[in-house]
Amino acid sequence: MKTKSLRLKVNTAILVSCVIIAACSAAILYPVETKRHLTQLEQIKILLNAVFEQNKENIANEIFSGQEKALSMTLLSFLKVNGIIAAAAFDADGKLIETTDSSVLSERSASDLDASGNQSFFKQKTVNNLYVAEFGVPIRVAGEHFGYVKLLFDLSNMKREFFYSFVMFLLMLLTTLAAVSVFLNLFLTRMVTKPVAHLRDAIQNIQQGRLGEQIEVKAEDEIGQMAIAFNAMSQKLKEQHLKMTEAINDKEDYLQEINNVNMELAQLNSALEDRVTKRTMELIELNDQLKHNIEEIENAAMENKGLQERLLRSQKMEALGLLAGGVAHDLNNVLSGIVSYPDLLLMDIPSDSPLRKPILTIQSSGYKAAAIVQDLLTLARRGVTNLRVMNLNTIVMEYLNSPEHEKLMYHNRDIQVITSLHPQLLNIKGSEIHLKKTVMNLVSNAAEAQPEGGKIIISTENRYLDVVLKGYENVKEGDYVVLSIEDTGTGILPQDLSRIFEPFYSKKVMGRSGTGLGMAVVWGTVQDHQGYINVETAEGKGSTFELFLPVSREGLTLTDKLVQIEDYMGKGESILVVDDVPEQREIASGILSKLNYSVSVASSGEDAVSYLKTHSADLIILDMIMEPGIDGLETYRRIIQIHPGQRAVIASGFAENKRVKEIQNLGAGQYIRKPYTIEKIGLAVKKELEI
Amino acid sequence: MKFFRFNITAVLVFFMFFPSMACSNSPQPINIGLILSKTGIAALDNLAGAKGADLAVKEINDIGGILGRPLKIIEFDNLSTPLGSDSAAKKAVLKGVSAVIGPYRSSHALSAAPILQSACIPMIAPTATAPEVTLVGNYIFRMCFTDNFQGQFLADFARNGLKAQRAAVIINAGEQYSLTLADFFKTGFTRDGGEIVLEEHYSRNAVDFSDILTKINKIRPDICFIPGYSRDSGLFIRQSAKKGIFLQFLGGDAWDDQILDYAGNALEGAYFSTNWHPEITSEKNDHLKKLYFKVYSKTIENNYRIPLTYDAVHILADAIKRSGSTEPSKIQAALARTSGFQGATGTITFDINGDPVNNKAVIMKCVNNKWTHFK
Repeated sequence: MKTKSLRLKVNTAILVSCVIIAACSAAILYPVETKRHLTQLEQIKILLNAVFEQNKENIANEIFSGQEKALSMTLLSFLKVNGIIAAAAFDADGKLIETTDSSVLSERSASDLDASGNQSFFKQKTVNNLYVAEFGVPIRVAGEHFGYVKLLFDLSNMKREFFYSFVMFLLMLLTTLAAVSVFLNLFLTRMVTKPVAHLRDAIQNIQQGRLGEQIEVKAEDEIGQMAIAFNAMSQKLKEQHLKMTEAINDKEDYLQEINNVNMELAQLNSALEDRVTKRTMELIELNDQLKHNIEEIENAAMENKGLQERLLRSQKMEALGLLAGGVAHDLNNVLSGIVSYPDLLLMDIPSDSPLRKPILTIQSSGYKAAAIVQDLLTLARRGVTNLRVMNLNTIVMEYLNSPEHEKLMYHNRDIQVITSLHPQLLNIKGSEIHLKKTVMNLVSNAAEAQPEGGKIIISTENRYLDVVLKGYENVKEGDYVVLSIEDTGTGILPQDLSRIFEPFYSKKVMGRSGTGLGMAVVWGTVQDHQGYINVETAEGKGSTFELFLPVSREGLTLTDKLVQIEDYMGKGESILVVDDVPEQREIASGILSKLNYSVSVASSGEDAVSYLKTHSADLIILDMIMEPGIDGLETYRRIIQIHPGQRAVIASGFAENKRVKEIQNLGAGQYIRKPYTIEKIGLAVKKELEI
Repeated sequence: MKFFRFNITAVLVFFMFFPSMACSNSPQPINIGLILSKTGIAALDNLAGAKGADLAVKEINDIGGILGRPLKIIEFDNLSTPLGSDSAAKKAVLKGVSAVIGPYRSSHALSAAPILQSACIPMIAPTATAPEVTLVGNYIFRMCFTDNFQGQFLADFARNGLKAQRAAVIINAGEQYSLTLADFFKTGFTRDGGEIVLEEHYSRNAVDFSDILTKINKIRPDICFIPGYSRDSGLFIRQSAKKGIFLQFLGGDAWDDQILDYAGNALEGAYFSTNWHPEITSEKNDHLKKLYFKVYSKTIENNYRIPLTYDAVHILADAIKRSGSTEPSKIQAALARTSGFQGATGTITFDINGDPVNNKAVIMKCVNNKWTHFK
């Protein structure tokens, strides 16, 4: 069956090849044959034309001189040319003059010949069952037209030849194809099909188990090589089969051994699995840690960025504060006289003196001026001198009951103030006056933000932040008392938001509400209380200011008991006042003399040191800054070399600073802030001397 | 260089003026056209015949010309064809010749005659024997006898002189002369009691006569009449001899010495009729022979065209002299009145048609490959 199939395929291939070859041959030969045919026709035309040309002049002369016999002979002479079967001559009007065969050539159809006598024609046609070429040509001699000649050329030979060549080609092709087919078939049967069949039989034998089957090698071609290879393979198969049988016998022993090994392997595998699990766990942990670290680093970077921004803002405020502080210092000194002298005067004048009221007014104005200076100093962040434990609710309530608030409400009658104060609000440590001012400023701002009227909600609450609150500022974790002042006003434009706390950055009309320092004071106050500000605003809806102030766990500072002047009265102790400013020396020495102290003065640090070399003093009141001489710290250093443990009170217009701390570390006592009041200085001196 | 160019200019100027001055001194020549075959199949015998014209003109001009003016022959080639003759005649008319000599062959003359007749220029055909030639008009003349005369003459000779009963006629279908002469011969021969057993045609340019010879071999006539020219007749006779067909050949006046070359030795015993023969003795003929010898340093050949042309020029000169004018119409009138003119071919008088009266012919025979006067 398979043999037949292979044979069929081979035969089909041969047949298809033959058909393709035949088609190719035909495709090549057909145009060639056609070309040859056309060439033959062309040659015939040339021949006819040549024959005509040869006789043209004779014919012309014969027509001209009417020699019909001669013309007839000339026409007959055409027939001597092989293939020409008829010839005829016509006069210029196309009338027949002579013809050799009237049955085929007797008339001239109008379309045949050109009336102008210029064009010749050559065409194929069938006349009386004869396949002919008809050639018509005008007779023109010396520019004159004498008539026409028509020649008929027998094409049947050519046609026959064409047919024969076609048949010949077909026969040759068929013969060749048949021969090739038979030969190829025989050849392939002998060389391919039969050997392959042998091979197949041998393979079938092997399939049935007859290993070692050999076949005869007849040729050295691929099939021969295949047979050789097959023989070798068959032999090898047989050998291998034998070996395998042997090997199978040994198999049992190996099997036991393999089982053992497998067991061991399983154990190892399980141990490995445990280790892998453990390791994986570790890796997961490490990964988590790494993630955490990365988050921390990211947070730190964020925080750093925030800190930098804050630092920048703080630096800006610092610079502005420094400016304000500088002015304040000088103002403070100037104010000393106004604040201090009324005290002295009031001591000296009787209580029913008409001067008493104006002096009290001067004193009150002085205090107010001092408060303004304190405002400025607040900006310098050096003003927080007396922090005490307090409750913010109290501050709020005090403000709400203050004349300032009443005045504000008077001007903004359409505004409703709502308070929501937490009853168990925790304490904070802070400056009452600053905080009050802060509340006032915020409420005042809130009122001004809604000129058409609205609500101001003042609320307090305890809030504990366990994560950093990212708001206007980053608020650190911790316990806070939050003061929130909310309005329903116009809101703050985004471009203004970052600058609202700058001094003099105001959109308000100057005059009604002060100096443009309000929000700057708020900022400075919160900073001084180690607090934070958060601002939320939406244009057209209003703003909320939240102040985060750290909670204090200390008890409330007791309100200072009213100190009577008698309480500060000295017992004649000696006090040295060291101050470079004469007015200050005078104020201090005046107050202290009143308080029954023995007062000496020194106008510089150097003077004080030299004075103390020969004298002693129970207490020194030491100004910190004494340009251009040595300052308070240096003075004290020298003094304690002469009188170790010398008691001293430090006085300065500035808030406590590093040098103040240093001098206190050396043994100096309380620090008092200028401007002096009789209470301040008296209390401080008394306290220092009593230790 | 510049000098050289000047020289050339000078020479050119000299040549431009000198000939015209020379011309104005000598008398204007009388232009006579000579239409002949200078090329083509008839060129050989025609050119030989034209010598007759040269001789006559030389003779006339040597004695001072006519009317004090020299004769000038202007030759027009007719290419040996009727069409050529037609155009040659037209050219002659355009050239303004006073008269025309030629053409020689009848077919050529028949083409040229109508042109010259309508142009009113006299034409003298020296050898055109076809009767129709002079019938074209009163300006057409001829020097020779006509074919109706010759045909009868030859028929009589064949029938009576050679005692022939069965005759074959081999005709050059392309020449009117041949056709006409054959017709007259046939008529005469049958009238005399003979029988035309074969009539065959060949073409003007024929060179192979084997077909006709095959037929003639079967019939074997007593006489074979070939009214053709020397070339085709000669070739026919030679091929006949080659095939072993020996016949009694008879020809017309178109045969001349040249047929001896074409026919080889096969011509022995053949006859032909002609206007003229060198052996004829007359005062004028002797004069011509002497003149010919004097000019060409050889004896005159047996070409009847020479004396007929020679005579034609003299007759024309005579007519011009008599008319005292070169006006063609006057020349024609004088020519028509030509009477008793003594020429090399005999005494010539034109009849009403312009044909010579008193036709006479001689028979020549080929003896030892040479034409001899037979009768």
